[in-house]
Amino acid sequence: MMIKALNSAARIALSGFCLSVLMGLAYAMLAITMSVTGGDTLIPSLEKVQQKYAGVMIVSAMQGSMYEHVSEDESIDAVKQWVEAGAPENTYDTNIAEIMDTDCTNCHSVDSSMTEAMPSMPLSSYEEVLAVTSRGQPWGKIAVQTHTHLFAISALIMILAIALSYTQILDWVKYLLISGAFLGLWGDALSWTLAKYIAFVGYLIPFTGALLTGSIAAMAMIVILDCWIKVPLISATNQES
Amino acid sequence: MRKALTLIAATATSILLIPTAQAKPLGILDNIATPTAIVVDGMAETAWDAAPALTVVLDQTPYEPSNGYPGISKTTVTVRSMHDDKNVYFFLEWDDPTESLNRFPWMKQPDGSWKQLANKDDTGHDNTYYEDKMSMLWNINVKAFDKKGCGAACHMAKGGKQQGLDDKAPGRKYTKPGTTIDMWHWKGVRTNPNAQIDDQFIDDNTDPEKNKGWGRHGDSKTGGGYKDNIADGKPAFVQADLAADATVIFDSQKTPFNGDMDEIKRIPGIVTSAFTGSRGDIAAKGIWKDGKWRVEISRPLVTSGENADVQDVQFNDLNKSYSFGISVFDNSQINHVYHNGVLNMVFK
Repeated sequence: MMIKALNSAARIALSGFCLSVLMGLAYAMLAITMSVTGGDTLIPSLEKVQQKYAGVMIVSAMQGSMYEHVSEDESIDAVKQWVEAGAPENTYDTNIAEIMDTDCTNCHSVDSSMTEAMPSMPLSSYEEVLAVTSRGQPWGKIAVQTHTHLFAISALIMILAIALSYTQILDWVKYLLISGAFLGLWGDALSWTLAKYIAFVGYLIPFTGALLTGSIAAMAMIVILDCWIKVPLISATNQES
Repeated sequence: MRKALTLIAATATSILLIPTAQAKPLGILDNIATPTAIVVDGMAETAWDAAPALTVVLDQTPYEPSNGYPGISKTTVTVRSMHDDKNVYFFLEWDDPTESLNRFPWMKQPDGSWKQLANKDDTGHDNTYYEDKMSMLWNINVKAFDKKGCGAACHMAKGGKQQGLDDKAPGRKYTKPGTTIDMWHWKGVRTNPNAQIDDQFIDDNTDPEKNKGWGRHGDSKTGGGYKDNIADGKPAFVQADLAADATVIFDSQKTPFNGDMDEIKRIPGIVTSAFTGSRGDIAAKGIWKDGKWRVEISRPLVTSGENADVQDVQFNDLNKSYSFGISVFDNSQINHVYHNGVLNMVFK
């Protein structure tokens, strides 16, 4: 059975689902971009993505989502150098405390009352700042993000893959896209954990993400097209003719 | 097919390697030249129709007063700007459902005594018997202001401490050493009746012994100003027209208070007169109507009063971008709604 053989209502539903997936992908990309660039909707650099997933937490935040609150780029360099030097307590007061006070603690303090207060992540003392000098994303975030990512996106891929398997396109394209989607998903999810230990892995995340989103987008577009027309270039019937 | 895949991969890779842009201003205000004489009366002349409007959402507040805060926590400001050979003009509008001008009034009590109404929170600030205000901060030479806007001068107390000193106020304004910010503070009761803005500035002072407002100061003045209407726990003066429901007493019309004035039930808490000198550089008139404040402002492009080089932003280069920020106070002493980031004004 091919999806083209489905009745019109089923093909409309399938097309609507695939269009929704494509829209969702666009907004997911926007959300990821904004979380890396600090609200800027421009495409992030490879370096910024690597920093977000493999860099020192506080430095990554100052370069990314918190960048608009950082007075001077020199402050980011100072914090980065301090962390790389082992975050020594004896230089905290002289080199770091003022930066935190100027740019961070208005919101990041236990008694902050500002609209965007973050009392759960205070940065008012050496011990509090030290807690955000580890590499990569915090374990709590990785645990939540990884399992929800795997559960939700594997279900999405499964639906699309089944629909794709009943299209009239070439088999090798089906194998490629389905494998690409799952490999991208696993690569993406595992990279978040591995990047905590191997900094280079942070550079791979955009590519695993691109493999995942690209495969999903391609599957969705092919299914939509195959519902209504013959997909150009990759339809099995093209090869036969 | 292979070529297509290669092209897609190459495009994706090149996009990912594009350097990230630096932080952008929240908005750009285009200031246009006008040949029309602008009358600062809070009513927009038709000339304002030609001025591009910048809309800014104010949705941040510094603190939640302990005794409640009935004021607005979000509003939208629309600002337009023009200039001629001598002056720069602004027309601001923002939504505020209530006109609040009842600043610490004296009310006669049933037993004939007088009581000054106040409802201060645990930081010592009022959000009930106060006035509507608006503030524009203009960068003079604070590097961080060009990126963070007003946030560059805002310092919240932590654990009841500010710079190691006990401090109940949730926030203080001060700058890095040797730098200043120009602060235009329009006040619905204290300066609006005189058609002025209180021209102030923020510097690096963190010693409340030197200045109780920390970095906040009024510009140099030669006379005028406002003061609390109080003497020995009673009103010092009354308004000229005792029957009028005045919100302020003009210094030129004040009459000494005496307890025999039976016809008066309410006395304003402020005596005011127009500033002279640098502090009175800025003309402004606000009118509240239909749930909206409209404030029209005029200031010389370049000021020349005492300490103008330190206390005032100078619009002396029309090819330059000028960084500023806006906040609005709804019947509130220090709680205000503001925006993160910075706004830029460019002359067209």
